[in-house]
Amino acid sequence: MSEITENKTDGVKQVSCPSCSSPLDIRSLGRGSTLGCAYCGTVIDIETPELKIISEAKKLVSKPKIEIGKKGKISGITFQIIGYIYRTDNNREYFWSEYLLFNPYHGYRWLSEYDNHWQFVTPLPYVPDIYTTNSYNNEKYKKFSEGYSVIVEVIGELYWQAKIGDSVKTLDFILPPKAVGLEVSTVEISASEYRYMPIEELEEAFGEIKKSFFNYSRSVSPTQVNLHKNGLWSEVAIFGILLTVLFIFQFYIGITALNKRVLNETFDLVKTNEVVSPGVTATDSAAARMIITSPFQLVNKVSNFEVLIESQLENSWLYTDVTLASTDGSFIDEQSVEVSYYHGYDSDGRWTEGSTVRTLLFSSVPPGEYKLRIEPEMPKEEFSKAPGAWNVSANNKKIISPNKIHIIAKQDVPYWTNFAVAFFALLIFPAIKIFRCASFENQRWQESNLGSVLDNFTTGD
Amino acid sequence: MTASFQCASCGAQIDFSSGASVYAVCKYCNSAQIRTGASLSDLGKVAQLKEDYSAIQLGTQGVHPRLNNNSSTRFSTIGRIRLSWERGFWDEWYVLLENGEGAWLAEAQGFYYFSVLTNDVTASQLEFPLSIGNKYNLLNNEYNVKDIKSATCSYSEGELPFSGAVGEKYESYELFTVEGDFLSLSIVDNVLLAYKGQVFSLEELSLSNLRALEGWTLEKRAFNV
Repeated sequence: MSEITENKTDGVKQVSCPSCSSPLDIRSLGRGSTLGCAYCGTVIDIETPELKIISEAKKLVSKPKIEIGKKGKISGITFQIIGYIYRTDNNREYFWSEYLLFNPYHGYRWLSEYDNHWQFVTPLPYVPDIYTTNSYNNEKYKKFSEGYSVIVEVIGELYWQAKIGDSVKTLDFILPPKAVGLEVSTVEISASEYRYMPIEELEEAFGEIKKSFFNYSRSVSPTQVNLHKNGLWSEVAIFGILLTVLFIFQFYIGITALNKRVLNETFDLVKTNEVVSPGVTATDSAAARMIITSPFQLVNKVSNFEVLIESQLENSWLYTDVTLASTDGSFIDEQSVEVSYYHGYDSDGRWTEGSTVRTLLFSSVPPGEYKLRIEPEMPKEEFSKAPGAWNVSANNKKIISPNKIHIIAKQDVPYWTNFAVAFFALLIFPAIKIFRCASFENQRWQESNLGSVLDNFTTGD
Repeated sequence: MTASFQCASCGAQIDFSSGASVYAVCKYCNSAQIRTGASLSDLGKVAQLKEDYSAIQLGTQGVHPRLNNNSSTRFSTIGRIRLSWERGFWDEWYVLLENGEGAWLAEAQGFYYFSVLTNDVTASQLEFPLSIGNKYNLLNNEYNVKDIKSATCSYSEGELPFSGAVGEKYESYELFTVEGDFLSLSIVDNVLLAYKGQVFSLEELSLSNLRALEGWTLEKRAFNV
């Protein structure tokens, strides 16, 4: 039968595969137990002199991405890759690879790879009670998955006798980039520490890693660090600080604004035959007589200027141009506004549309003496309505009759528009970051077979 | 404390460095010898290991950092028993402490398990057969059954405090606290022996005179990997 021969250096021995006769290297002879043939998939027991076959030959479907026999230094210790296991879960849904690392003085470690995500695995000599407390080394972990791990293929050496189809129950707890995994079989419970290993660190140890055509990760690893979390809290803190500054600024504007009423006049809307707006015929609407307000003073500084137009409309509309002009002719600005108010009852109850009050804002108005010119139009039948005393202004409680226009003007009004714009602008970056952070966690927990994604994110750190 | 005897097989001198030792394998003729009174009797030859990749060897020395009253205690390895089970094996090394007492050092997967015989655990405190996950309050602590193996002695060398005859059957149980302290129970011929211990890294035990292994040098890690 096969003889173990020593025809290689570095303590590597060779043996012929009892199934296909290929020469196989043995690197941990006297410690190893199982050897998987890289050529025919046969798994043999190297502790028996006749090299008993544990699992028969079968076509191998996976291939190690790091060559067996390679040595690499991780945290100062040289490890040699001596074995490889291709594994799956109970449903043969997920497939992942495990590489056995060996150092005769420091023992075994593993590299675990799934979807181009690598984890460095250190077996623990004991089982921490993480499965009851969720904590390990005084840190809180989250239970991530519970399942089975089944051996599909073995290549190279393993330190216990492993058969194709061997299955252990697994439990994983994560605290990225770390995790603790438990494996439970009928004879043993064992625990391991996992650490996410960036590809750069792995390549530094073992050289370039063979890459598949789809050389990127389509998933988020359970132990992958959520980089979007980096600086998330400082970004939120900066947002908070800027928001506070913005509030103080707005508050300052609020208390320092003059907010001074400079005009409060009511005029009758009197029908004229002059039709001023192009496209509006005299049969539909009619222009009211142009109104010129009393002169008023804007003092001290360039500031904004607010005009409030009110008319007690009953299911009707009023359209007007409003021109602000200084009496010396150095400033003129014109805006227009439509005031309309409709109400009634239908099957859903009372409804209203529009408002009897509209405001206009003129910005950057220099100090000086001004007048307003108002040029109203409204449906011609409105002019025939009799003035009455059945309405109360929401503004100043004065009784306003229909067919009248009420004009209030203020200088230097504190406005919230700029504040709102600044607020949303500030919100954009933290919002994007929080969204990215959440979707990363969402992707991570999609790989979990426990709990809901939402639960796990909201209870997250 | 060294006591000298003559090998019952080849007549070579066999030194017992521990008074507790009753069994030794002659390093010249590989015959297993058991001490009966003032002389040795031959139990037959022990087949030598063809390959030995164990990091520990006879003569390996170290320092236990906190053995008796938390003082550091030097030790050296004087014997070994290899226990083989259905799917593998492990070695238990018998070490002599500087105070003349014996202790055990085992290595598995790069961890070094150091334990001392205790008389404070008796079979009546346990319910055999134990199963994985059973919990017991022993020695003022809660121990969980982590590992159960039926093993057979497949090799021995050096000197041992009991017979290390090849073929002897062992029922072996490993119990751990959640802090990592362990109790190792073994039943041989219906006798329960309990060992209490802790797990260490190579650096923590300052191991020296380890076996030289072709292709490897002894590196020490700066921090745990």
